[in-house]
Formats: sequence, structure tokens, C-alpha cells
Amino acid sequence: MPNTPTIPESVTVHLGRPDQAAPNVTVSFPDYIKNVASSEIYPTWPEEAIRANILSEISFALNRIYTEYYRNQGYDFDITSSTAADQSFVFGREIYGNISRIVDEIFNSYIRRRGNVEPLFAVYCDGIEVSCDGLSQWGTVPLAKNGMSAMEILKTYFGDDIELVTDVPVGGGGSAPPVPLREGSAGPFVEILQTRLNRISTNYPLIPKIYPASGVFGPSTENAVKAFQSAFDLTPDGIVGPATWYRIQNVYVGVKRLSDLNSEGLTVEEITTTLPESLSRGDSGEIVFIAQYYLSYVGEFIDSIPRIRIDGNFGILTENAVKAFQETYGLPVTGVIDAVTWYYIYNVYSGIVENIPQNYTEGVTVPFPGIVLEIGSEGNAVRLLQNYLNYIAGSFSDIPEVPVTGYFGSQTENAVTQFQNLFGIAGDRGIVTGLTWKAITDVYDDLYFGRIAAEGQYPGYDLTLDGNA
Amino acid sequence: MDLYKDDFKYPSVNNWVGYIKARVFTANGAIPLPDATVLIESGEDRNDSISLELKTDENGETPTAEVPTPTAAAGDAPGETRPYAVYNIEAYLPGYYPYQSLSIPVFGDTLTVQPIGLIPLPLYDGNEVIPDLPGDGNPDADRTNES
Repeated sequence: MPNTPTIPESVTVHLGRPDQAAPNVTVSFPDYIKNVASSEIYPTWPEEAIRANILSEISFALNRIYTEYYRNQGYDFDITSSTAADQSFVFGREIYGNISRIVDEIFNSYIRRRGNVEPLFAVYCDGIEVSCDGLSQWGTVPLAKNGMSAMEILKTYFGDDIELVTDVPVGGGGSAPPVPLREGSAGPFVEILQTRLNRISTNYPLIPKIYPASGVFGPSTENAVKAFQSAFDLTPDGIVGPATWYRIQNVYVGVKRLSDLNSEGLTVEEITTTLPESLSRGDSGEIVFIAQYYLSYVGEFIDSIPRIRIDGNFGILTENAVKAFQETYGLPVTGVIDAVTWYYIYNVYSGIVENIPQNYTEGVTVPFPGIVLEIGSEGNAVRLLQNYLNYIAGSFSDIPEVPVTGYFGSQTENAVTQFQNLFGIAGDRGIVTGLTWKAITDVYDDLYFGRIAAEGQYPGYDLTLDGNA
Repeated sequence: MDLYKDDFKYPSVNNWVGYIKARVFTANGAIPLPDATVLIESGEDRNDSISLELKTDENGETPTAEVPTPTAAAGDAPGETRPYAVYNIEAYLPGYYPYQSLSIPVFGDTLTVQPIGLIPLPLYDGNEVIPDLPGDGNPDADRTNES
């Protein structure tokens, strides 16, 4: 147990009763609270009633996390979505704008009993159909209408000896600057802000780039901040207080995690499309490494599959990820990667790489699909091949561009032949075997990463405080 | 608590307006998805029902739609009348599993934001890859609370 409570970067929620078989999902702490508040109360209630309820929900969750209530019982989650055991959480549900704004403002505050360290186990119930020794949700509405503040409402239910703790340290990327950043501010915090906003704007192009990112908060920084605030339902005032700071941090971490995984990539020689034998707990080596990479990548897109470390060792966490994958795709839940599971993992991974917008997958090539491509072949693998060839054609004029049709016709055959001749690839001309596929994807990767380095579009990209918390 | 009951005796009286928009993304929000089609339709049979078709912008966001709802004060005290209107949302984008969410509550004077996390299709479709995804909009599967 940590000495003093902190706000965790994320919360793992079990979508059912504690002892019920159900998936876990991991969401950021503010997103968790927004979901709970949108599930537990009405957004039309008076603001102080909403704040009192949200503070109870935060304190309840932090108590569960701080006391490691479920972890101590051997569970692999922090809290459940069961209202009988914890508080309501409906994964993927709609969120109300005002609740989102209030949570962004107060998610790093909680209530505790004076003299105690741990967040209050703030029990609550609706107060109409169920009553309890805690806060009455419906009861907060008339109290707020009578002019009570959130803390006065909370004291009514939990006693006068509770106190509010604010500015609790936030995990996953450093705490907010001590004073809000605004036009005219300067220094390292502004530099971090600019770096992060510029990185986010690569994925969210309606946020303008800040140039120069010099550590001085000028008009272009203010415009970027306002655009970010509008895009994420914050008050668009151009001032970076804790709410905006932590929201930027949250989005930045998500964007960066995916691109880190992309840049780790996999080279084609690392790929075997067929498994030598099945893989299970205790196995290690290259093939486990590849399986973990696929699973991690898939896990970024499918919430029920937990994130794992890519280290080449098939441990219990990898086994859990395999089980979650099998559960999700309706396969027998064995935790063993057999030929069928491998086929599904590979296809799901390849589908993601193919289907997400191209600028996120440039440089991420798909391994050889395992079937020889030649005149008459068709399908997604051919379409990918045509995309790679066209990208290469942009730099090598000997290679003609081809229409991206997914059908391997004479133009594609010609482009493949030109590629093979230019790069001295052995084997039959115009036919894509594993060797030619590897050569094409290698050249593509080299070109792509070469250009990235040349562009250098993100000044100060490495100057981040990640991991300082 | 279970404020969002299925058994309200009377439907809402939609004499006011609320706001709704969707945010469409993949990879937990790391990648916003432009050009997705988002359909918003009344979730109940009524004569003031609406049907809207929206497109997402480069940030993956639809414009904010104004839709009929009860007044904001309708939910200030417990009652038998549903204090919100319900809408169904669907989203489509080639290369992704379609999305549907039913009976989304929308309150008067309040913005409802529907996050829509789309899942890319596997490479070879038609191989019976039908994932059971959490949050795929199936109310029976998603709303597991027992109280």
C-alpha cells in the first residue's frame, strides 16, 4: 500500500460481479469517474449536488484502489461495475458534457476523515428505493437547491470531521504546473505543453501546429490550446489550468503508446506465418516475442484484451491476454496459442494494419501473408502490395505506379518485375514469394523511416517528462 | 443507483431541447476517424421522432445535433415519467465493424457525448470472426448491473 494516495493513471474495471466470469477493461481514471457519474446521477441536477456525488464516487474508487481491496483477494482488477459491490460503470456509455467538465476539474480531489490518510469509503445509495448509512443521491438535490455547497452536502451525510484533499499527485506523466499557463508564460512547462500538443495534433489535425515550439506561450500556442479544449469538451479559454493540463496528458499518453508500438514494429524475417508447434506458458523465444507483439497491438484496439510486456517470455500475463483474445473471438479458452488461435491473431492484427487510416501505419508493414501472389491473385494482400509498390514508385522512377484494385493484373506484374530487376531479387519474375515480399516491405520501411528522420517535424519531440510520476 | 430504468410508466414529454454529438475513434482514442457516418434516431415510437445523418470531421467528431427532450427540471425528483428522451445511434465506416447503441438518454439543456470506439475488421473477412466486444452497444451484454 502506498504511503499517501495518488491518482492512478488508469483503472482496471471488471465488467460484472467480482466472482463472475466477465472481461476487464482498463480506462483512464478521469474517464472512469465520468462514466460512473453519468451512470449514477442525472446531469440536470444542480451543480453542487453533482459535485458532491462525484466527490463520493472518486473517494469510493480511490479507497478501493488504495486499500487494494480486490488485488488483495487475488483478483486482477481494481474495481467492478457491479452496483451491489461497487459503483455503476457501463463500458462505452455516453458521457454528459457538464459531468465531463466537472470531473476534469476535480478528479484529483477526494474526501477523507480528518486524521486519516485513506480516501473515505464513501458509501451512497439512491435514498428512495434503497437507504444506507451514507449519502442519499436523491437527497443531494434539495440540499443543493437550498444553497448548500458540495462540501456542506457531504458533511450532512458523512459527518463534520471530513475534509477535502485537493491537488493530489497524478500518475503517468508528471503533475500540472503550479500556476495556470497562459499567453505570456514561459519555461519548461510550456515546452512540455507545446511538445505534447504538437504530437496530439498529428493525430487530431484540427488542432493547429505550434511553431516555433520555443517554450514561450504565444498566440499560436493559445490557438492550439483553444482548439484542443473545443475538441475535448473543456471551456475554450486558451488557459492551461490543471483540467486542461491533465486532459492533454491523458490524450498524449494514448497517442504516444500506439506510435511507440508502431515504431517497435516487426521485421519480416521475424515473421513465421505458420507455427512450428503450439505455444503455451513457459515457452520463450522469437516466436513468443512475435505473438506478444501481435497481441499488444490488437489490445490497443480491442479493450477486452489486456496490455502485456513484449519480452519473449510466455508468462501468466501473456496467457491471460491469449485467453481474453480467445474469449473475444469465440475460440476455446485455453490460453494456448494453437494453429487456429495463431491464424485469428494474425488476421486480426493484419486487418487493423490494413484498415486504420494509412498515415498511422506507414512504416508498419504486414508480414508475408503466406500465399504466393501472382497474376490472377486478388484480395487485401494484393491491395497492400500495390500500396507498397506505389510508395516505392514515388522514389524509384523505374518502377511504374499501379492502380490499387486488389487484383493482381499485368500492371502489378510489371511493377513487381521492375522491382525485382532493380533490387536484384532472385527467383521467378513478376511473382511475389516470401523473398520478394520481404524485399518490398524492407525498401518501403527504409524509405518511410528515412523520410521521417529528414522531415524532423517535431522539434523537442524527446523532451518529455513521461515516467516522472 | 438505477435511475435509468427500463420500466418508467410513462414516456417522456418532449417539449424542450437537448444536444447530442458523437466522437468516433479507434485505438482508445489515439486515432480519430474522419468521414464516419453517424445515424441518430428516436429510440421510441412517437410523432415527433427524428432521424439524422451526420459525418465526422478530421477530429472524428460529428456536429452537435439539437433534439427534442423533456425539460431539464424533469429529473429533479423521482417520478414515474422518464425525465429524458432516448435515441439510438449507429455508426459506419468501411473497414470497421458497424456500431450500434440503443436507448441513449438525452436530457434537456444538456450535451450528451457518445464515444464510439470502432474495431477494425480482420484481414480476411468472412472467416466467422465475430468478436464479442465489450461496449458493442448490445444493452443486454453491456448493462450487466444487477440492481
